[in-house]
Amino acid sequence: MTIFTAWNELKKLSLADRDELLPGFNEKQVLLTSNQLIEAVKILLANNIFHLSTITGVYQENSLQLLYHFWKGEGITLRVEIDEQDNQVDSLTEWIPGALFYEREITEMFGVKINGLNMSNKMFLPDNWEGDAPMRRAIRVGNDEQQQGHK
Amino acid sequence: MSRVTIPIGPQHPLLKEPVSFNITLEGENVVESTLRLGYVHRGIEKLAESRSYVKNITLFERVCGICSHIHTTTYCQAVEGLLGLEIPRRGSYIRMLLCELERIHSHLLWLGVLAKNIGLNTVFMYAWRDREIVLDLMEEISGGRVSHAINTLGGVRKDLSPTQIKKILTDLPVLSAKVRELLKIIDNDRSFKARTRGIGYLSPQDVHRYCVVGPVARASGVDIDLRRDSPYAHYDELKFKVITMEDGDVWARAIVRILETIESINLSRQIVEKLPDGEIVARAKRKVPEGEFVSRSEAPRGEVIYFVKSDGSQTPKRVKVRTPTLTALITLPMQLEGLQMADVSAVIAGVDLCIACADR
Repeated sequence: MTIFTAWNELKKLSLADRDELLPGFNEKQVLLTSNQLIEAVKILLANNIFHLSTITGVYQENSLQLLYHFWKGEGITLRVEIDEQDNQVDSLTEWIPGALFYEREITEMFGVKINGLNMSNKMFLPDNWEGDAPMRRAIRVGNDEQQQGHK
Repeated sequence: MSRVTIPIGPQHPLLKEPVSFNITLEGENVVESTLRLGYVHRGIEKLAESRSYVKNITLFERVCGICSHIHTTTYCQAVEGLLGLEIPRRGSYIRMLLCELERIHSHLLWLGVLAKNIGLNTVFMYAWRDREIVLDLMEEISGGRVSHAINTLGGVRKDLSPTQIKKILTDLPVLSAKVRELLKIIDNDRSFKARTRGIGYLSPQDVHRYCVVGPVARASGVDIDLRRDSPYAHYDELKFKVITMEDGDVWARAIVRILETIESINLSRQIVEKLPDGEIVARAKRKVPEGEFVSRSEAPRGEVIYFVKSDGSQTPKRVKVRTPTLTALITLPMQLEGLQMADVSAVIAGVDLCIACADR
């Protein structure tokens, strides 16, 4: 029930109804811009939905979406569109400290700047990695270019 | 007092897999610790984008060397969700059976590792000896002790024969008696308690704040289990208790896991006794329709989540894997702070790290 109440509140923020999004998705979801994320997370926390399962980055055709999968008996997903020029989003760690490693993975693999995240060293990629964010590149595995990140 | 920083890992006898901890000590006490992942990052999520849906089953089986079956189960559930495919009941029951046997094997393995880390070699030997019973059963059913390769899109690849069912039903009570014996040891042994009680404490509030899942959360009194809370496969047809403890320390985690092992043995017996007749696999189409699907399941260490996005071709557009260890790792520096150096090994073993899972 909490999921449904939160979903109805979130839909007021949302850019699109569920029907306009990709078919086949089995969870409740709302589409947001990156500056609405914190507001949406506060609504979820106010409705006692605090378990963030993970953050998925989906990159295709030069656009990046971050999917924040929350769970409370059933799933609810915040689908955040990242602006290509802006390329940044606020960190959730102040509200949900458990988001730390998810955000570090997203910022290393997709090259998104996450405001408020302490990034003194690398967590997943090698220390000497200088190439593009590996999950963002449009190349497929098996291509020679895959080694380009290493010095 | 001057501070000393001690590196543990990436290669260290304490660790079974490569991860690097830097532990800063003031005298004997831990004042700060940091960790670094990435030593077994294999780029599995990226690799999955260039392989077909069926080939990816083999790939995801290799995310983890302990809980391989739950990964393929969760992945198959996601793809079956996209295909709109309902798998035959018998196939689903065989999947659940392997999931429960795997939980028994993982928990016993963990108990051995914890016991070894705190110097209790006898319990380590007993736990790993008893684990052989369940490994033999899994080998009998699937042909593999750890990588079972039994899941496929639409069901399972191998059926259970009456002889196998008989063997499972004779071996499980033997295992159950042995696990109860282990429970008696860790519940009564003074040195085990001395090394684990009050160590690595995690409050229920911290469990919520850090999104911790699985036995670690349940040992802190947080009652979550996806098998009961959002049942997948046919868990809603089975009877089981979700074990919780209030203590939140390494000892509570040990007790929770051992009691869960006993529950899993009961569950396996129920599954075999209730095993429906019929087909074990439904025919899956090669091309998966466009869409996205999130699949969750309860691995031995907690919630596993797979996100699969399809663009209608023969390969997935994106597969995201999140394993339970990743959240438990964030809490480690917090759990270690203020402890003595000698307790570090118990805490690191206590959260049941699976680094290959966390890195992918």
